[in-house]
Amino acid sequence: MSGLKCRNCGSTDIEEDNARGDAVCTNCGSVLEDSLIVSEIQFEEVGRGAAAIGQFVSAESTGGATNYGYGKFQVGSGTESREVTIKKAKKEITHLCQQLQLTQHYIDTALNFFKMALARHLTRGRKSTHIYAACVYITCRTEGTSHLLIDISDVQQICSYELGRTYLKLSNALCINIPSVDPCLYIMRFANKLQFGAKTHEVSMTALRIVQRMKKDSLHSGRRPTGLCGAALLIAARMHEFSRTILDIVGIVKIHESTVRKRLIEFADTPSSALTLDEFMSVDLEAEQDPPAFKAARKKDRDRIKDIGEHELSKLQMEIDTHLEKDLKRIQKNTMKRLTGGIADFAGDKDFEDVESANFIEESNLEAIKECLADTPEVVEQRKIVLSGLKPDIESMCRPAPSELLEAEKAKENDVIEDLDLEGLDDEEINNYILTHEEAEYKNNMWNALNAEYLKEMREKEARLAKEREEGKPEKKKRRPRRKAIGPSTSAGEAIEKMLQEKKISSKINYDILRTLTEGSIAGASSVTATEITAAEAMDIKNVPIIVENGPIKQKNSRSKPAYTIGGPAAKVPKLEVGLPVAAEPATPTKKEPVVVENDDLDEFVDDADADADGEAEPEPEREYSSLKDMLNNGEEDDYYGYDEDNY
Amino acid sequence: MESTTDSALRSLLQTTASSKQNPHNTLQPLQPAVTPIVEPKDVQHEVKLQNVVATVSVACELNLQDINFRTRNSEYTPSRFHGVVMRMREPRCTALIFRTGKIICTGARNEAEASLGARKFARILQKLGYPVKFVDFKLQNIVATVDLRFPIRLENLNQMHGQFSSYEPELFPGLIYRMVNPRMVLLIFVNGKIVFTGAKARKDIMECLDKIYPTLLSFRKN
Repeated sequence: MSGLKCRNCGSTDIEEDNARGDAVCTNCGSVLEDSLIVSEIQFEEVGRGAAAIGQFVSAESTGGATNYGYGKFQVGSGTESREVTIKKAKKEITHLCQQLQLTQHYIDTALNFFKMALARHLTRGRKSTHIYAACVYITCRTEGTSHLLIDISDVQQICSYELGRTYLKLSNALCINIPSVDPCLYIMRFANKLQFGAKTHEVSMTALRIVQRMKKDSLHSGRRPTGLCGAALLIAARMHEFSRTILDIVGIVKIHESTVRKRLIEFADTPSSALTLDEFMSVDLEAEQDPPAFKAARKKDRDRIKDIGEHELSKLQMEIDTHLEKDLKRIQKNTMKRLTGGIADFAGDKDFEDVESANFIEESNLEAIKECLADTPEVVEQRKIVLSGLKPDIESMCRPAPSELLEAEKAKENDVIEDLDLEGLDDEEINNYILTHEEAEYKNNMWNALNAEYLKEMREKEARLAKEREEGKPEKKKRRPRRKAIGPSTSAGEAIEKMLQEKKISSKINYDILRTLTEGSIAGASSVTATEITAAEAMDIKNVPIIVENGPIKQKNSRSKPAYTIGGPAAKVPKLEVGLPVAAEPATPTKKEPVVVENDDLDEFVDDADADADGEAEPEPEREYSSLKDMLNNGEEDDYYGYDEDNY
Repeated sequence: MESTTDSALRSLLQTTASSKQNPHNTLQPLQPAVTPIVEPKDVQHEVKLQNVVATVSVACELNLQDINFRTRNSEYTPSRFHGVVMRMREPRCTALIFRTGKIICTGARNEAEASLGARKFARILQKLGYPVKFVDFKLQNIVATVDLRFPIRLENLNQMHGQFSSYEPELFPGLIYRMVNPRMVLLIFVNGKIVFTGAKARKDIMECLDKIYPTLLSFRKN
């Protein structure tokens, strides 16, 4: 605060009065600021009692034009539209959370999710109720409460699939990695509703055990958690001698009877269902079952093979067998010949030879077997190396696919055949599709009769339009297609150009003149902005001399070159971001590369240059760009801009 | 191969040294252990195309009512849909024909059928007297399925590949995997069956399968 200077006389002798909330220059007497923001609260006596002095400013407000000047008289008006949106969201989310019996903590989290969505423009084109509900649901999922999507859609009176879509979109765009639903969460909740009285806990514990078992036998994957809970609760209730029908359960878990029945049948197919009650509570079967859908598919396969006809198969098998026999015999003969060779002729030596060869064969066989035994563990290990939980491979994703390259080549060739190729077309068949004159007439009449209403409507519409045109009414505006994302640009000037084409930011700026400023060169543009960026540059001044010390200017250029996409391919950057957060391991090598390159450049120089390079190379291009943008955004408010920054 | 030579040797021993008791006599020829791991190459043969969508333009304005009256296999309900729906027996496919001359041919089982079907539809229009060309034929979407024959842990897959996948059993039983490159969407089910959509060519599907296969293998159950 002491660094503040009077704008009129340059004096630093400024007095602030927190009670009044203003700052006055004691030298010339001009009021530099009123409605100062203070962090302390003071009270004053008024007719009805005590009241806080001044006005509260919420932490979310960005300052700007809030209540400037007239604030004290127009409470609530003049707030930014975003603030209004957030306020509304807060109200709605609070309402929703209260209906779902969620505490303040959840409300805050949900509201933060909403703010994130708002900042990324994800709220556009979606119903606000869906957004609120999705935010609350994301909160529920991340915090692991026992709320289902259907509960929230029930409270909000919206379609749960529509809400699901919104929720998926949000969670995906905000990169929130949401853990999968655990059916165990819902057991307690449903058990409470089933009126088990004092035994609620016991029953739910049993149900929990059943669900755990079901999960082990992968009954749960691809299935709604509620169905699983329903089946488990039904079994558990009956185990504890409560009479509950499927219909009782169905009413509470909100799922169809047949689904619960199906889960029960699937559970009956697992080996754990064969255990007695006591056994089930004490024994944990090691073996895990394949999912029922998988079993069903295999069974289908087997049935199909049976259907093909066993006799056909056996015929085929016989054929194969005879062929194999033949091959075997041939091989045997060959080996015989090879081993015994011509020696077989000498009848006298045969016995001796046989014994010798048998010995030799035995030895070699033993050796081979030993080798095999020695080999096998290695082989097994090799197989085992393959994998547990592969992560996404970002490098392969960024590499252009061979198909893309091929396509690009094809596009270059670009030979166009425009005429219809008649090869393989049967004219007679095609003639069959075409009706005769009488048939066409008949179909025409029928069609006219069927579509009479539509035709009438169309005629009326046309008449109306013709009339409007005669009266000189302007035609209805067609909805403008959505703006395309601004592509990457090579220089700041180009970027401004693109932005100007994209939208006119303010009606108070003469864009033609502005364009002449940027047209000349980037140097010209930067000289214009120089006045604005002095403050920012002042901070950089510290860095500059150090760099000069470290190396010649040439080096600076080379350093700024790898600078992580300066005029940045704006479209590419977020893509990378999407990939990075989860797969930290595969990401690191790709991220390291630029750093390594930089080190190569630098290793002749002093070590601390490294730190400088990081500190300097990044902010510079960004600063230039952002200050230009600021100039365009609030050209007239530049003074406030600098001033505010000093104040905080 | 090993087993055959082994048995050959055994029989050799039996014939030659019958007097001596050979320990190998009791050995059974060993079959090479059946490995349940299917190589991706084999899986590629299992890929079945289910649907191919192609677009083409005949590059002339069409009178849809006229087309509807004069063809046997067409529907036209402008109050519901602004195009003629034309069906065909051989190859079995359906075309949506629009006023601008654009045709969308769906339902073909492979690329050749899609091309043949589109040309047949264009030929029908030609027979009706329109100055038909055959411009910009393009496959827009190929849907294919494959059965990997091993169960997959969807939860774990979803956890590790969260930025590409979404698995919400409350909404849909399969895991939806949005692959970035090639840009396709896969529906992965717990029983090892996979649906590929969004492919522009058959090789996209093969490439995609090659890429996802080791991942899925690493999340197989048991």
